[in-house]
Amino acid sequence: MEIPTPHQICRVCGECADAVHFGALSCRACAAFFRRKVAAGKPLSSSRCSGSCKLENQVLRRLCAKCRYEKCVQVGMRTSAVLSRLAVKSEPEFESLLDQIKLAYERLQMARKEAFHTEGHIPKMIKYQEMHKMCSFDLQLVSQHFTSIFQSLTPISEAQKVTLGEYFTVPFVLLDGSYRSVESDYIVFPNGDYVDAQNIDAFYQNPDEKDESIGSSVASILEPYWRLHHQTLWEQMKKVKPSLIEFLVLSAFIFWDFGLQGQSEECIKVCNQLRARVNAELSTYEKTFYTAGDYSLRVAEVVYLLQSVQKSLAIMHSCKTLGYVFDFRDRTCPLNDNLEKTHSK
Amino acid sequence: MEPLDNTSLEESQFRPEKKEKSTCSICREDGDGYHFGAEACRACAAFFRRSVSLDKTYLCRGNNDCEITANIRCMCRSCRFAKCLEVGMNPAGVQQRRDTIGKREIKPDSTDLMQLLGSVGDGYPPTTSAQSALVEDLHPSFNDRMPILMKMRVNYRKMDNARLVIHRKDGQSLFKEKTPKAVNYKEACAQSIREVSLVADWVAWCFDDFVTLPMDQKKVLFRNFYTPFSVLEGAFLCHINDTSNALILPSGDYIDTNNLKSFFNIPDEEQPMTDDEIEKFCRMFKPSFELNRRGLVLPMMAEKIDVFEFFALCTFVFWDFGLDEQTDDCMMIGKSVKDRVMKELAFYLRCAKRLEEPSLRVASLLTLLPALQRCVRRFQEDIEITNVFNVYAPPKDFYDLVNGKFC
Repeated sequence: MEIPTPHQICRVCGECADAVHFGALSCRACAAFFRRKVAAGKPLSSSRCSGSCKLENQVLRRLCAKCRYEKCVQVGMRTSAVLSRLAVKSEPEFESLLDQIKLAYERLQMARKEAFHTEGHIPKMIKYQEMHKMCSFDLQLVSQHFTSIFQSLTPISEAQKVTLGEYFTVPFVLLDGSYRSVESDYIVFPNGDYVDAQNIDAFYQNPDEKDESIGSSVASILEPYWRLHHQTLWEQMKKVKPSLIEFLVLSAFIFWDFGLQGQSEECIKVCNQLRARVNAELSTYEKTFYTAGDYSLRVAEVVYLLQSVQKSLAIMHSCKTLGYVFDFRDRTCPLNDNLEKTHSK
Repeated sequence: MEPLDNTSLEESQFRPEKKEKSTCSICREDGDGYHFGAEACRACAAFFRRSVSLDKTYLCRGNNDCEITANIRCMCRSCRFAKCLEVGMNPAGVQQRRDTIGKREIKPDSTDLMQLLGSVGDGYPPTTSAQSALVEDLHPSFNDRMPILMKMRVNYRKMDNARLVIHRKDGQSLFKEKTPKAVNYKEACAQSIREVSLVADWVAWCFDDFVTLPMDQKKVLFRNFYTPFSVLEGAFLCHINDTSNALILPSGDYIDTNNLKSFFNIPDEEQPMTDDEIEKFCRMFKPSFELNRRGLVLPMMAEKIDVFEFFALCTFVFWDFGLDEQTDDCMMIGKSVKDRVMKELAFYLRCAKRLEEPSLRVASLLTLLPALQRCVRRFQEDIEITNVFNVYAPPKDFYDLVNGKFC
């Protein structure tokens, strides 16, 4: 029998999946199981269950309904997507925005895997030239696989979609980088390579230059900014440790921003509506999964990270200016070109 | 005949029929139905009614976390009352004690209360400063659960009163109401400089933790706070005075953003530019005022931000993180203050504003902070431009103030 590829596997039991059911990739059996249990509306309990039953195949998945149902919810199946017999004729509910954004992010991650050949790649400390190449390529991937989903979800003019996309790229890349680096002591790039923010001297060296002092002087000028950047975004991210859903909510808030220059009133209105929907989905998520106290405090903790992203953006602006003043623009980040677009507005 | 309780008519009409004994959500004793908005027994309902109508203030001898159960519910009245509020009992639902002679005054219900808390003045130009948003008091019972926000409010009133004095011209009567006027950039700079010591005092009065910090850290926090606070408060004043086409200053005066020419026009002084050049100059700075209007003022109006929410935002702006020369200790203290204020805000939203989903409101409020940061940076860039080209350049002390290079 042909082994199914990762994106054809049922997220619940590991058998062949046939489609996205109720918000998660699954096989028909698990989808039918979920529909039956939601429609029955009875709480599931099992005295024998330890809460971690294996569900990895057709036989095992039938042994514990409670764990199977919980796994369905965990992988993203939504009870609200199951129509009651009465509701079949009524208007269907909005599809979850976060589900769609999550799928897009998973596609982006797969595209990165293919593009950067991360399978079997041994991570190494990189220098600025390599980072530039990779970063430029990654920006295209982000635009193609991730920014585009937000644009397609936003019913506004093409010009306004472009404006939102331009404002989104840099803050998203900053957020994404810090999210990826949460478990590491380094700043990790999409291909797994990294930079030690505490020791950036090596990062700014150019092997083709005989004079090492050029790289060192750039490092000494920019070192305080790296330190601030680390303190402002990376450390805050490590403290909050957002889950994937929380990270995606922040991404959505960054895209559907308000009060941007060049943004029309109509666009602001649409963005506010979409933010409100994402906000409601975040609340529902925290209510379900946050068990350490008042979930509204967790919402605050997560949303407050937007402040960190904005601060990092300001630091990047300063670095860009320094690059012009001290004439080391070739060593500053390729993100600066994107910064230029929004700043000139 | 069974005595009537003070539950409102609507509530009793739609009260579900009791099929089985309900449980009091305060002491876990057998319940007696809904009282003042929560499932409660008669004893707890009576306790809550007495506490509210007699304006009682209780003090906990422990850590404000005493256990409240049927057999020991009388032990700590402070915690028992706090639990009443927590489970959703509404002080506004308690009728005032009836005066057998006089006509009784009806307490506003929770919706009126909220309108008053975030009340909007009567249009533009503004009548006074933020006073109009500070009309209605919350019930004293909220003081214990919102100590920082309440302190901020009391001290903000003091600051507002002091403003009436410091922004008067010599010879102007303090008792005669000041008529707001459109100011030019020199007057705006001068007013802002006069505000510094007031805002510094306000901060010191509000946060006990601030007083304990070493002097260098106090300076770091305050110099990074003043400009964002001015921008945030300006937007809040526009919101409570219901105007988005002027920028209202704490003195009650305003910058007419529809007529920036008058802002750059200094009477009795030689103009550094021709009319055409001034026109260009206005066009150059108009987007900054627009950014402020669309990024802060309009969202505040749309969200109907009230005074306690404004104070919570001020707290987050003040106890900032990742500042140049800021120590880890200072950041840790800041985090603890912000956590406490966030708890107070969540309590306020749940118990005073009676929101079922405070988290939605919290997220909406906090998304204003990045917008504020953008506005501040834009403002600083504008000041830099005027300074570099030495046209309408602000006085040095104002330039330093805006860029956090003072104190």
